Amino acid sequence: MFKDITLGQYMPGNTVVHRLDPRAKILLTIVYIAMVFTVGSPLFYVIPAAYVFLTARLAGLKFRQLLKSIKPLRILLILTFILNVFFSGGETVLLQWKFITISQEGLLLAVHFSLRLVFLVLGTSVLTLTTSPVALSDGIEILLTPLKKVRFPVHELAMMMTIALRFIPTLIEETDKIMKAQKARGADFESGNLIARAKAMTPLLVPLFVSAFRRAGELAMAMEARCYHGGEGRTRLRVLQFTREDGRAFIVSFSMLTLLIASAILW
Amino acid sequence: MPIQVENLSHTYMPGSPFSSVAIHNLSLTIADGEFVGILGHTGSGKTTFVQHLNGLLMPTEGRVVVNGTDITARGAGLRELRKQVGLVFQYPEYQLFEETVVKDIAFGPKNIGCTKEEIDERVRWACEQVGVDYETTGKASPFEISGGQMRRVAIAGVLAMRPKVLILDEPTAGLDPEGRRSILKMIQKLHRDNNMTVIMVSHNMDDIATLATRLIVMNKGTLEMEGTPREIFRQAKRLKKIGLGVPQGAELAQRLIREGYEIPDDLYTLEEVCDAVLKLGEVSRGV
Repeated sequence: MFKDITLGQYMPGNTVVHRLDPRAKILLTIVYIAMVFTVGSPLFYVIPAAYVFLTARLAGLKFRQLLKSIKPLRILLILTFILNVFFSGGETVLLQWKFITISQEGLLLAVHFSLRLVFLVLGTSVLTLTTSPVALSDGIEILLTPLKKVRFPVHELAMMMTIALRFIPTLIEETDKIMKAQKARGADFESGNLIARAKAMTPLLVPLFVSAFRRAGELAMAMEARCYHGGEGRTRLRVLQFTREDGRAFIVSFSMLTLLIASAILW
Repeated sequence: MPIQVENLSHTYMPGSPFSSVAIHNLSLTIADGEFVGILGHTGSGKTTFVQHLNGLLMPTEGRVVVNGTDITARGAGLRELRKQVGLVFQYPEYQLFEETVVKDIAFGPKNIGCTKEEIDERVRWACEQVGVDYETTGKASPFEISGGQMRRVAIAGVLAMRPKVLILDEPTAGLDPEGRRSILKMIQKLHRDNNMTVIMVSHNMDDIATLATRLIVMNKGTLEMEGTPREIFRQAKRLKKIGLGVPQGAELAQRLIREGYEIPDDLYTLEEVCDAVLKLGEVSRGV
């Protein structure tokens, strides 16, 4: 039952996209998001589409892997589409039946917003598919460093993220084990109504919380035993460095963004 | 409750890049009242294997027949099966969750729909079997008692299901010598007094040497050896090759033989070796 969790969806590889500095990749993703939002009419999604599919191609990702990231979004997508089609009104009526009106503008808007959602998710998926969680939180930490000036706990946040990511598989394994142990004692997690099912979770959640707290305590102790005392004066094992490849990626991305902005103004 | 395992194979996450074969084409039978020890190096598939015996895992290929019914068939009564085949996981104390020890032990019987009196009777019986005091420890929270006590309570939780087959996965892992001895004694008593079929997974040779009537040695998901402890422990070389060892008694006997003492080559408990050495002394003194 835990096979569907795609939190750690990183696909290891050694392509240009994989090698890019995580900081660069995060910034480029922001540029890409800006691109998606500047698109004025559905036709111009060609540009972010070309961008995202070319990047995916360079990263050696399969089309199917990309599509999988949209799957959890399907209900939201359908809802967005339906709401926009039926409730946005418009001049050119295409179809009218009782109280339902479908206009050309509404249809266009529905396609527009659905595509926007799809491309947002596709782009961020390329980021998470090609960047390991550790590199990602490293990148976020450095990018957020300026916030330290206003006493924002940047290092702590990044450390928490890294630890949380590290423990997801461990906790999944633990859940599976406790679940099996309770099943062996005749517990039933699968049948009954909502309330019965919620109640049936107690024998699973209590041991899981107990062990999560125990683990947290042990980890804190182990970190302190190795003299961890927060981010102050801490150096890195892997120092991030921008390379020519990063520069090139920036140039390409910004030219595409400019192109889009120009098109949005001209049309 | 004889158990037949036929050509069992299990692959984790088949068809994905992470797929791994845990068990490959394993066949064996376990008869009523046996005490079977399952030995194997870490990752040899022992734990995966025992989880098939009460339907927690379903085989990728092959079947498991318990008491004449194929439990791997669709619609097999898994709850009924889990009443009959009790499984104590490794570090079972991590499954405790109730407010009191008694309530926790009652979890199983309650799930299988026992009446109130029946539950109480079963809990008392299970407490007695594992040596937990119903009146005092029974009222305590399972999170306040000692590690050894927690282990006992967790085992009692499975015993309260009144299984005919009891499977224990590394029941002595992480216990101190005293705790280990008493748990082993308790398991032996359960086997002897209640005629329970016991299947014990371990990589501690000494634990298993004194208890099991038959051994199953697993290696890389396949059946490597099978036989009585005496037959298995003679093959020290083969056991060492797959990352296992022999009990201290067998180690000592082999060493004595290498040093030229004439004792039988199939001894494996320390007592046997002691007797053999004493007898050797008597002969040389000409008694």
